[in-house]
Amino acid sequence: MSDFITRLKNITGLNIHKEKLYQASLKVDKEKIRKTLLDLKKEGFLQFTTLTCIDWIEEKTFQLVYHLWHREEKLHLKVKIDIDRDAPIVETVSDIYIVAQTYEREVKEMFGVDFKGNKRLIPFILEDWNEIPPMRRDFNTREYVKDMYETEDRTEEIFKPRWKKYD
Amino acid sequence: MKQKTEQKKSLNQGGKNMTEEKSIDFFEYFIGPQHPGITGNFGVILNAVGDEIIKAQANPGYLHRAFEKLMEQRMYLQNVPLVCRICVPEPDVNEALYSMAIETLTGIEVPERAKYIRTIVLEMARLAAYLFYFGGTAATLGLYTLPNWSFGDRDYILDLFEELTGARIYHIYMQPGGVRRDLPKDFTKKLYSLLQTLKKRIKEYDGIFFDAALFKKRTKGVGVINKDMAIEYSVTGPNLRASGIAYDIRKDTPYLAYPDINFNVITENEGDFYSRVMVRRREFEEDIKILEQLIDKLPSGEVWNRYPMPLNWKVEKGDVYVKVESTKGEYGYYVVSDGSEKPRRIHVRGPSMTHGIMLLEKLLKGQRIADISPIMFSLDICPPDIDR
Repeated sequence: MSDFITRLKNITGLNIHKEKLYQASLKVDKEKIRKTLLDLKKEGFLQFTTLTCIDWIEEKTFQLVYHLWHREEKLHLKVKIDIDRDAPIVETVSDIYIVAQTYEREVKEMFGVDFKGNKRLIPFILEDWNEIPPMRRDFNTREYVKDMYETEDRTEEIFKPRWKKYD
Repeated sequence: MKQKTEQKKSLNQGGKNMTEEKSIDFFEYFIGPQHPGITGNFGVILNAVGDEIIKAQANPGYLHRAFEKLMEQRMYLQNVPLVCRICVPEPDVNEALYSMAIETLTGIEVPERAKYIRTIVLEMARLAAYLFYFGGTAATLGLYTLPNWSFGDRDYILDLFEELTGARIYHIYMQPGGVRRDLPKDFTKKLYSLLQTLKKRIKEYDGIFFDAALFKKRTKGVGVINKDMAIEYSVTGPNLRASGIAYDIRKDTPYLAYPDINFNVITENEGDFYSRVMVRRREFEEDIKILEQLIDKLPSGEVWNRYPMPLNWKVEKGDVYVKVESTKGEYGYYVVSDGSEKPRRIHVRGPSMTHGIMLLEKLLKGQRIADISPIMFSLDICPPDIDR
């Protein structure tokens, strides 16, 4: 595996870090993601495993992690890009890896990241959603549930003593 | 049902009133989310001309419970009883993966005996899930004897689970550092005798279902995934092996006790419905062999290494992706920790996300309406892991 990583470094000029459990990670610029994935697909990373979005709200960035798997060399590569949280737009990779389309649809819906060029960013799971995308860190689930399902606050009524007081 | 109609204007020609002509391009059907031929709470929206499907669109989201969001708000140990609920037919992979991810991040060692017990539980869950699969697949073809047999046999495995963990479906048995408690007395003996019963039973299944001419005629050449297509659509698990690619995570990147076990990776070549069922049927026998080896080699010792006090258990900053081979394909967890008591992000990679949306839509195009349920069941789609 180490030989393959050095070979990959020489061919693509990427800075790949080896990690445990057959894994390696790589950080690239947002603009280079398409070129990087095209290069890696040529090198034999044929399986697109998944796409994860992480909300680093303190640093005002979304981190997108593209997981690729090389079947022969047994290497799981995590390609990471940082994008601006206020203007989350990134180019699609759904024409390089077909299944990325579904994952991009999900990330678009749950985090509000826009994928330029994806032909099918239609609603996936949510229906009639007017709030901010729900998987963002600043979406408060408790507040939402309170507004949505509990129209009046009945806490006092429920927890008041049920017995009568006799003077 | 919605009709797309084209109304042609009635023309007045020479005093004659021509009648209105209507032509229907296609019908739109909604199959699911409440339909016996659909795996779980899932829907497919079809456009069909007559009986032929011209466009299929998967429609998930009826079972979304926002587990990923919920896990971010709970402490590491509080998530253990939660994760198993992500996939209903095979919940143990979730527990194993969640524990494996935290062990990798924190460096907690797992005792050797606990590794073996975890593998036994995973393999038992695999047998149970395959029995469920055989029953479901036979039922979609209208053969109702096999489901009655296989669901009954599955219950013997669930009885053993109940004895081991106290629960039939959601076991909450594995936790970071090992398993909750040791095997009960005579458990391995009971398991061994059950395996011998299942060995005989699978031969009886052959007679009624797998060797039946009806089954072969109905399923050969239906829903073919060839090698290139399997690679293009990132297919994993038994569906990939049915297309002729010998790839098994248990063999390629072994985890838990699998490095010590000898077994064959089973493949079929055609990639059709029949191959997908037969790969699983032959794996069923292979899994019985794996379980017998595990019982023989089971070491003695502790089953759990203590983790820190759970209320202020801070996991080191970092990220890790762990994966196992489930009956449906590659099941993975990507856990990101920011150094606090709660996980920053846990992403669940279910196999159905690739099989159930794009691959299903591709396979259904051009098929008959009667083939929807068989194709869906043969891919072993589990909607709960799309809507996690």
